[in-house]
Amino acid sequence: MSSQLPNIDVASHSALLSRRVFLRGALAGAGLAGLAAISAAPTVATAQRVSQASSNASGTLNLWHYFNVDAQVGLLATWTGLFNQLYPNIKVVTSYVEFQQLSQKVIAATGAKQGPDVLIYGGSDLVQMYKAGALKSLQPYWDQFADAGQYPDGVITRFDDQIYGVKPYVNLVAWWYNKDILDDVGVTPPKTFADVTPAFAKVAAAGKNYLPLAITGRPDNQGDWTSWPWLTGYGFSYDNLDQSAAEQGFTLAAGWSSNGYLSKDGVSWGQSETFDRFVAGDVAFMQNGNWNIGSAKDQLKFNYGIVEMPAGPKTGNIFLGGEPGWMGAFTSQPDIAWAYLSQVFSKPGDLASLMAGSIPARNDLANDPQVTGEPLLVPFANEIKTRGTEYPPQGGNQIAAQLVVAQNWSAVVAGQKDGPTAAEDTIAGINAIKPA
Amino acid sequence: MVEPVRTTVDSPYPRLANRAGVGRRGFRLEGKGLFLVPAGLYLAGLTFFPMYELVRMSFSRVTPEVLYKPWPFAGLNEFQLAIASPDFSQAVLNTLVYVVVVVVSGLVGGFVAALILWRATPLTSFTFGVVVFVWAMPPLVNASVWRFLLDQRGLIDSILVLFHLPAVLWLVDGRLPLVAVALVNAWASVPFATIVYRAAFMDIPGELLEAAAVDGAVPRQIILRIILPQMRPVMVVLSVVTVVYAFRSFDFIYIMTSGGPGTVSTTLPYLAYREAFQGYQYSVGAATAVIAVCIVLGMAVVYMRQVRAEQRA
Repeated sequence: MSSQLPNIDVASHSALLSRRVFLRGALAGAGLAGLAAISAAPTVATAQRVSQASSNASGTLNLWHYFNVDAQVGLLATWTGLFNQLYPNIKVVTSYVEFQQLSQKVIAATGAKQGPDVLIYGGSDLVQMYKAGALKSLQPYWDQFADAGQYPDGVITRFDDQIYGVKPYVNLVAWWYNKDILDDVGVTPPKTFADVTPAFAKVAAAGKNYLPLAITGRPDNQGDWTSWPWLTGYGFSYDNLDQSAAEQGFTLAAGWSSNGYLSKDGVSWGQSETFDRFVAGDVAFMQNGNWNIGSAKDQLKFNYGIVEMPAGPKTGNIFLGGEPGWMGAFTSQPDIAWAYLSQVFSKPGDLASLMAGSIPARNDLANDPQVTGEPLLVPFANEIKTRGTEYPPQGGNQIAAQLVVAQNWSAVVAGQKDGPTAAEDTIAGINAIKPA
Repeated sequence: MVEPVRTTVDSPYPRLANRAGVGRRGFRLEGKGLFLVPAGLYLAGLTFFPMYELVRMSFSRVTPEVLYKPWPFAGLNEFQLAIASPDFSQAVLNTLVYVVVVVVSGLVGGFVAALILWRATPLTSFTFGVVVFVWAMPPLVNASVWRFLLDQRGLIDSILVLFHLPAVLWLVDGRLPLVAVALVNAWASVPFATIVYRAAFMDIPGELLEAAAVDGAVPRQIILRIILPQMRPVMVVLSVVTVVYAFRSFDFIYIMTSGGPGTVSTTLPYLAYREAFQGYQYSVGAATAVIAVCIVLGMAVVYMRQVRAEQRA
């Protein structure tokens, strides 16, 4: 790892961002101490709302989320703690809803004019929740938020020119490696697509039952998320349905499958399961996200490292994710809901996301020692600057297109389709999607 | 032949007339008929109304924007979109394969298990209890357990490798995922069939079996010539129920394969779910679901008519 750590700066990215995250691991104790010191004095981030809720206000605040691991739950507890320092009589009830079900439950609740006061969610179907009328605009509150300028435009989600969600942190994937295995077989982390397959071959040829690659192949948005760097690395995108580019990307992965460089069981893996496989210690490389950093420190019993994703001839894009905070459309206490969200977006609240392995989005945290002092975040920070791209893609058609890409990626990982067939079916499937 | 009972309006105990001899008579909502009201309300509220809404949605254009607003009428447009989907024909084929595997495996497996568990002994009683336990387990639990068992590093492949046999990619390789999930679903349906068959075995006159034994019939002949024919009405009902059960199966596919790899294990119900809740094309998903319902209803009606025709003959 380089001793010269670049600033971790998400401000340079201007596109809309959102992503669901699966975080693991415990909170870093040192980070907690630092956070406690910062949070002892509430900052101006708590001031100035459309109408400020009284500190004596009482009642219940309902928050829905899909965080299911210690670090994520701890992050919620930290945010709740910051909120309760100012509003001790408000009981925050956090309700876990499984990721795949959360948006549907929010939309269903909308039909009964119900739903959460606060929602922490970063799925690909955010626009559908907006269209169903499940979200409330934060614009009036954001206009009076003293720290609004700390958040780059790229982490703010707007619908019809109104701010609805703000992402306090960014998550993305990079290239993890088992250093012990690489040292054993004499391989270095690949930097380009051309280096990848030879590296896998060398790992496989070592004859020690090492699995070269753990990667997600599920036929849903997780598969799409995983395939994106490889397809865009040859120039494919939803704006450029280049069949030749898609064919090259799929062919690359098909070769890994046919040569046994990846586990075909990956078709049933989400990113959590992929990380679990990497933990086993016999996998050389893994494509996975920064949200695993906390878990990695706790669970990985071997030497490991992280580098940037290998670059293709056209470099390739990486989806930028993270969970924006939203306000429910039918909250009966919007001022209280905003009071909670303002703590999420506050400096201590944003810093807390670092402990869960995420990269704080605030400008004034870019040079914070607790942020720049984590060497494992360096590759992610570099990718944000050079290769980050909007997620989810805008529009209902592109959500359907994502599923087409994911299904073909899954078929390639399973060895059921070769590159040309997968590319042809992808283009045909996307072209067959009717306008929303 | 039983003489049909003709009732009067004043009779406090109206009885149904014999259909074969007299023809159908309606019954009045008095006395016993009133007890049907709660069930009728339940069916109306939790079955007929949702079905009505499903059909109404399939003839409308429903997306998140209009989900809670008046739905614009779309005629057959959503059905056209559903059928035109690149995955539709594959899903129909997958569904038929899935149903055949579940029905055949379930009926045959249930019959064999019922034969084995017919005689009441401590061992068979205990085994029957285990069978009922399996039947009572939620599909989520069944599917999750089998997903781990069939994993490449799961118990089944580990045993194969232990005996120097090649590991099988049950949930990955070719068409195997569809068959594997169907077999797991059939495994979960065997207990129900076993319970039904076992109860039906109790109604077989013991004299028939004794007479067959006296005449020198071997067990195979007793099963094929006496028990199976006696089971025919039960098998008719069980097969219809199992077909409907298999056709609407979603949970095993959702847990074990998510319809993949690719769309290899995507059936019509799963396709409907994916279109509605992942693609947010609610009306297209509804149209797919209506098509699936029509197919299974058609199959059931045709089959029942054929069986009744055979019975009359």
